[in-house]
Amino acid sequence: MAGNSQILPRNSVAGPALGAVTATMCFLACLALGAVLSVNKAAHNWLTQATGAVTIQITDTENLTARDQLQAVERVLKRTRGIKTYEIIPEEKLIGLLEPWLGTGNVTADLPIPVMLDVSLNKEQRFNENGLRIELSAVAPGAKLDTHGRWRQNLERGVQTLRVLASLILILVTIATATVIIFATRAGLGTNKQTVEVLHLIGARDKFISRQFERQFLTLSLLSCAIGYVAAASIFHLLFTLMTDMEDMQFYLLLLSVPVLSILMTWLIIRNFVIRTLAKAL
Amino acid sequence: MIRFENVSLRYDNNTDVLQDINFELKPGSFHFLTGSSGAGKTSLLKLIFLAGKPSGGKVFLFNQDSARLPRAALPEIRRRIGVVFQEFRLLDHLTIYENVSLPLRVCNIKETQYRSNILELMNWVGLGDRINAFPTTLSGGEQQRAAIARAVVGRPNVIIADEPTGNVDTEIGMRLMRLFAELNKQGTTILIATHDKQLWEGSPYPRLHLEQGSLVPTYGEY
Repeated sequence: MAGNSQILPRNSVAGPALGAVTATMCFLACLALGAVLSVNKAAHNWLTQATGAVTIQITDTENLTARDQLQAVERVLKRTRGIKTYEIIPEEKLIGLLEPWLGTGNVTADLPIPVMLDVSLNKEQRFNENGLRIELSAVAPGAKLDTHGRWRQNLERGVQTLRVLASLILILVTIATATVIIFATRAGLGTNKQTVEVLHLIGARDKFISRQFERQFLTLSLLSCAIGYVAAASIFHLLFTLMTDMEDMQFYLLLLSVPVLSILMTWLIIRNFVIRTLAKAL
Repeated sequence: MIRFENVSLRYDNNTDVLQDINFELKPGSFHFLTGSSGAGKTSLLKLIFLAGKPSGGKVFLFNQDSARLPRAALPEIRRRIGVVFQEFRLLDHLTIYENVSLPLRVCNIKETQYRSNILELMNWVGLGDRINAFPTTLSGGEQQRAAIARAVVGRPNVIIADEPTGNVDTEIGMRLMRLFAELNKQGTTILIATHDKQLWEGSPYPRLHLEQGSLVPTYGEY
């Protein structure tokens, strides 16, 4: 009857407005974290593919045509450790790749088209990139090894920028949420001043009073964070239906850390603030 | 049990509320604290239930100097002092049962351990049929009795009542006095602040009389 009833009046500490703010903040934080996780995963997939392959481009030199150098290059590739397979890209395919820039049928016969080799690497063996580069230059001066380094660097830089941006958003959302909670707690203490005074005078400890505040806030936080999380997770689920190989349970579990940490943060802020405020009372 | 030694109290605006107060309440005693409105009765009571600190002198509660009590020790002392506030100070959003059980809840006692005791106490103060009512629906006398029930439920060593009959008619006032006398017989120290002469006149209990913040002798009364 009385054992579990709320000692503080319902909604006198944490009202619906605070609930809406908490839900929004949790939603935004989930979006920020989800964006980082998604980009990280996509970048990881792209980088794995990129690091698993290199391209060799052979162009004509003053004395040798590209075709003349091809055999020497193939010999080097066959004895190089760390190379799984290689494939000479057919000329038609190369012309097809040029067509978007030059227009269909505009690739003339006298246009020097290099020989391209798509080389797959064996991930279990160490691949000596510089060693291959030196060997190639010795046997085929027109051969150029492309490990997609610049593209990879740009991708990594982009991902890093996004990580920093999302971290900033998370920090801002955390600060804003903490501020809102502190203001709400202060208001709640003001509204319940008489009740708190009576509780003190009948022998309540500060921790007991603090628990009453924590209870109201946490009930609201639990509900608000659940709404924020479900909303954000639904958006990601919709996005992932458009992208293959992106959705997995681990993503949603990691995203769950946002509401869990939000609730933990709410609890710690309230407990600290209320206990410190009550300590100033008689 | 409670001892005042040269206690004075001055508000921030330099108003002297109490001056050089000396008295002692022995265990099991019954005292009236009398004086006209504004004489300092409520201020003196506040020093006992630790709602204020003296500006000078010492207040000893259960042989401990109240000024030297660490904050963590205050709840234990307060639990030994039941207070009936002049304005009752019942929590309007809680039922009478919840209000009365509050001193036990703050001690983290489980409801199963106190429920029957509360119901018995509510019957004793004549509120057995109003346990689920909210304070605002009760008459002044009923609220007063609920406030008394809340003050005694934790079986405190001392009960302090500030104008306990101020809001009730004479008949209920006398019933409340019989209630306090009964508690006193059970060993509880009682201090009742009142400006109502009818309440203490002809009573066998000693009187501490305040006039303009000072205790004055009440010769030849007892």
